[in-house]
Amino acid sequence: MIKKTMVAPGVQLAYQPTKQFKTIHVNVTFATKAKKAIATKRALLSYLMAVSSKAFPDQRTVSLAMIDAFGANFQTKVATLGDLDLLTVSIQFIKPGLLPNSNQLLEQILNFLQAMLFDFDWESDQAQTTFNQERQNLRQAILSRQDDKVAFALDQSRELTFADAAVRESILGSIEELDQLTLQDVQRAQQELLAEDQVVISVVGDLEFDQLTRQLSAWPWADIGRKEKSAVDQNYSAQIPQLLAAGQRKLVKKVDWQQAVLVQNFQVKGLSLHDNGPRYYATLVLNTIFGASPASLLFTEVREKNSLAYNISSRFQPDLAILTVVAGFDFDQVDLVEELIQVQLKTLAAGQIAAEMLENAKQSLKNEYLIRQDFQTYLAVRQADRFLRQAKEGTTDFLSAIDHVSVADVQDVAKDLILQSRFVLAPGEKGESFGNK
Amino acid sequence: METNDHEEQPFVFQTKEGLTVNLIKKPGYHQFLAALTARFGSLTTAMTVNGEQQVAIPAGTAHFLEHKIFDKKDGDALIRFTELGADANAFTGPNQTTYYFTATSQILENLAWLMSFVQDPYFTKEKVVRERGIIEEEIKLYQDDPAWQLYQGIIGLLYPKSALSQDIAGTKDSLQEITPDLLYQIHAGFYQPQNLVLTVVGDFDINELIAFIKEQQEQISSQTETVLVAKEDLAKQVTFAAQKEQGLSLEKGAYGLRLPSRLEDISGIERVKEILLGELALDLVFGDQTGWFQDAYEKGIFGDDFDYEYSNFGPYQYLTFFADGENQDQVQEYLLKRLAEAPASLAESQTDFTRLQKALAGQTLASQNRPDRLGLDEDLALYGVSLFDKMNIITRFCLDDVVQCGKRLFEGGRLTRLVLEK
Repeated sequence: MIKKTMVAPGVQLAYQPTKQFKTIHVNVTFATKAKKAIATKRALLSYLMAVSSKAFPDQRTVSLAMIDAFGANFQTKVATLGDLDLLTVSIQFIKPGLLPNSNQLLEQILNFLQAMLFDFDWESDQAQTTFNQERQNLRQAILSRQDDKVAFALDQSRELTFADAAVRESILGSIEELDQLTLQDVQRAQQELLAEDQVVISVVGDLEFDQLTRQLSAWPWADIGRKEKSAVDQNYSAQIPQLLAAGQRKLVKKVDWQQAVLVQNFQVKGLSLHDNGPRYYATLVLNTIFGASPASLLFTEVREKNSLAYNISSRFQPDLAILTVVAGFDFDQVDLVEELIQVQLKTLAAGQIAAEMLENAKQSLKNEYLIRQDFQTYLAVRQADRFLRQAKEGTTDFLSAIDHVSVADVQDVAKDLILQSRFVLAPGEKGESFGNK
Repeated sequence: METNDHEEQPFVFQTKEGLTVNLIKKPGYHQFLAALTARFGSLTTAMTVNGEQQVAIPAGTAHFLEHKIFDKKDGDALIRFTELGADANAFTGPNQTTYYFTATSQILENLAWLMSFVQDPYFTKEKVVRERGIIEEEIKLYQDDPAWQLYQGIIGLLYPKSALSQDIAGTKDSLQEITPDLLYQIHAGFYQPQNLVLTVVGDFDINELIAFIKEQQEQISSQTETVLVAKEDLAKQVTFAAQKEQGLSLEKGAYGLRLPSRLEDISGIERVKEILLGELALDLVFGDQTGWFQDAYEKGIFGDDFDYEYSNFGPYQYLTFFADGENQDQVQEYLLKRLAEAPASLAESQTDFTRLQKALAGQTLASQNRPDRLGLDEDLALYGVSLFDKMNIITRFCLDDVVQCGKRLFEGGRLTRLVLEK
């Protein structure tokens, strides 16, 4: 049973008690509506928050603090949920008392987290040095993402899919914006994050809830100008982003690459982030039959029968109401691969789904769902996700909802799928680099 | 449910056919993971079966066999797992090929299927030919991955023309040499029960499972073959620096240090101790908690992508370092200087050693949360050393052990460099 309480205005604590794990996992998730140019700022802020504070001024002292906390794992990351921009600070550490001299570990960890969240030393001489180092790290991460062809193709297809420029941005932002940022810009972004964002602290493990609440309530929320905010602020709840007109297409060529990457985004109609209704479960089943397992149509038809691609799969992103197909293959075969994808969708839309195939897909989804319950990180992320989606509480049991999906439900979803965007990254000749067609 | 460390220690036994079995109980867990490992990977390049003529094994064979094991007369073995509500997969490494599944229901049916599909081969010419096309696409996929290019490239410099320098998936040409007959021969030699290890993780009745596994293994026909693996003679390293134009957005550097090959065989536990000590020594010298790294980080020589690794398997022993960025000359200079001062630095690191030892114990304990870390642990499959054993080993180390290890890692050798350019 999950215990919930507000520890400050707009700061929700969700604690899932369990003795299953040898560790405690804490996620602090900050959420705000995506706005143009904030992705880069918040990505850089996440880098700064990972390595510096007054008490732990550089990456070395942070690293030593984690070593002294029995090898605790501290991370910051940025992500999106629907039209929200998330910055998550997470820490995983062994359950206090499991190893000798670890009884005070919870207090030690919460003090550390408080320092890293609230006490970046913006006025110190060290601040500009840290800023420069982390800007360089982020710059390299953005450039590396451009060299990862699937990540690059997904970023490009995002630009072809969403109407809002803020949602179209890559999660790490852009080099152009990064080069313009100053220390003061990031300081303002942090002030806004601490004072304005919706915050969810999700904790999974075996702890004293009262002690946890007491310590988290004592964090300096009031000192950073946090205003009264209702537990569920509509301005901070995730929504499915608006899409561009359907049918966007783009091809980019790049030298030195051997294999083409195809990304197709299909719009799924009739979904709601607040209530996972029957259509949500039908789409999960459709995705499993279509391309999310080795028994799927894409895998068996494109890879196994026709040997066209080593890699072809689909994934369902419910927060975006998008079903995405990603495939890697010889560019010469692009027409054939796209034709085969269409054939599989037509099969689904015609309801040509064997009873055994439907049953296997359901079984596979139920298996995945139960396995996820064994992952502490997943349990912590799910708390924040449910809260930020303002998901209806416990109205539907996942396992029985999956059981209720019929062939007709899957067929209905398939009939309504709209090809929103299609992006191809293809190997090019010298001089052809990054040319569009 | 409360976990109990003692209960989670692996229970180990061997069936009368010679199959080694590790059972790890995880009370309260939903999932059940079973992994069947053949001690046969990409590094085996030739074999002799029952004293007959030596058979050459082309590059990519272990991986090819991994793919083809799934391809049964009645269809894909993966589909059968799907029908049984399980998620299954496989991977090939230098010394192993592992097949595994995770499931939350029909556990015994899935386990029976894992044991039988891996040990019951079915290869045809037609299926072998078709597989080449899929694997050729897989090879191309990796060739577009800069991280793979960098790793494979530095290994190619450290160990030219070796089995390790070959792509695990092979080459277009080597794939042509793989025939159904060869796959049958290799399966008979390396997939016999004495060369297999089964590891099962989950919340199960241990006695029931032991009886079930023994019964299943009895039903699988097997024969005993005497297989001798040719020892690989490693060629001398001749090239110590290279660059490759790769059209990247960001330059990437890899550095390697080839260590002397071990001539004598050592026990599995000694091998794991060496690996753990080597990792500890590298952490003490190059870790992000060191003053050396902080200084280089502040100067922008290393970023948060800096990484290092100690590898130790078969005759191969080497260190690798990875750093992105335009300043590869400075990176090399810093690494060379640090390698020179490493033995002295290690000798003075008692305080850091004690702190890191405590952290490693905590991290090893934390990784026991993960059924996949427990069940797919290479050291358990190859050397019979579990995460629980490793935690005990780590806590018994003293600084002198690390200093002695450092003498092997850091004294001698020539730093090799590969840069992937923009």
